[in-house]
Amino acid sequence: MHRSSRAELRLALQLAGQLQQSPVPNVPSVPQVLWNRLTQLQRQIAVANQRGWRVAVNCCVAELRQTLETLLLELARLQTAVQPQSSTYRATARQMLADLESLREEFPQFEVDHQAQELVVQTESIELDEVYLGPFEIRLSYAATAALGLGDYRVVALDPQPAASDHEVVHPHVRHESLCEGDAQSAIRSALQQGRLFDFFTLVAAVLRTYNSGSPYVTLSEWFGTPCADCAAGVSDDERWLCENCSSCLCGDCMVRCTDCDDAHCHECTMGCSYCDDRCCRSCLQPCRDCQQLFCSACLDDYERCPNCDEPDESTESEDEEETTTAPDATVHTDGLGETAVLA
Amino acid sequence: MRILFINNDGGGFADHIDVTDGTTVQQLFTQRIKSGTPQDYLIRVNRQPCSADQVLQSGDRVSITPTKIEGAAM
Repeated sequence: MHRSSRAELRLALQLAGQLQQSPVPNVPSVPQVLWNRLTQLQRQIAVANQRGWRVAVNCCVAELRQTLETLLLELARLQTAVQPQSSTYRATARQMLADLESLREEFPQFEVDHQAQELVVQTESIELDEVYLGPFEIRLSYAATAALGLGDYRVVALDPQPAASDHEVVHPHVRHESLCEGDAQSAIRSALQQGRLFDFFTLVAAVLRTYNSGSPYVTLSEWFGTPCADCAAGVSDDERWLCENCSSCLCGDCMVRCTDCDDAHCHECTMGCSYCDDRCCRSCLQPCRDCQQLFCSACLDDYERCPNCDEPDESTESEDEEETTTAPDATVHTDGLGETAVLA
Repeated sequence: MRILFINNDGGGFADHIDVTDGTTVQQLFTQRIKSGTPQDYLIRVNRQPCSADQVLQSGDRVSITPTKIEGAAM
């Protein structure tokens, strides 16, 4: 076992002393900002609905859902913070020193950053669902622990593999170096309030080693970008296009601009003009008055006729000429709509 | 005898409890954790890995921590 240094002994004594002096838990602030955002989103959805902006409505609803989940988590945290303490247990200096010693054995690396006043633990490389995320540092500020009775801590990626859609997300549950604790929230808070350093670090590491597909910042299936609806390649938020018709996500290569309205569409929501073959969205293609095939606006004349139907029928004209020179008793049969066959 | 029992499942309970002499780690787990199997938990006695049949001693610190805990998105 590692022999504790004098510095660690002093640290344990300092932490235990401060823990005993700060029995009042920190009460998180009421999540007013989230509430304001919810009401704002509600107004935006109403306006977008009135104007028929379907894509905008979908975006706002998605954000509303996420904000609502965050608000519920914040309220749960607030509720936990104001509940009476079920346990009066507080770690002693001796127990904290034992925690510090055990952390050295439990994790690949453990150190005390005296300058930053942080206890720093390094995890092994973490891989979730075959997505490599690299090792992480869990940095617990003991200055904050002393001041508040609760510890501020950060989760820092040592070999960052951020999500393509958000470079601040380095783990499905870590954003801006902040871990969303989920199911571990109460246990982590209790560990910090009671000064159980070993439990705190093992709990945070357990969350980092687990993937909750139900509530990540970015899903692992979309870690390398949202899959393009047409070619399935990963597309980052900066480079993606949304089909104006079906709202599917598209990469720049698969996005099709309608020749008429210039809006972005997926391949499925466009069709080729029957004459020039330029791709147009279905609402821009119009049927020819005569043949009923679909054409772009450039290929239809003022009378909504396509170039095929607009041209004079040369065969009919020559047949008319022939008709005048043939015998007057020739039999004329109707061969098809708009066409005649002349039989001698 | 008295031991310090820490249950990091759910709320994160930590307190001194009384157990009968000769109680093993397996027996304590069965008494205290109603659902789940020991394989789903990291069970430590005095911060060290332990066997299921290890007999607890007075003053021991027993912690039970789930190996998988789901995080979320803020």
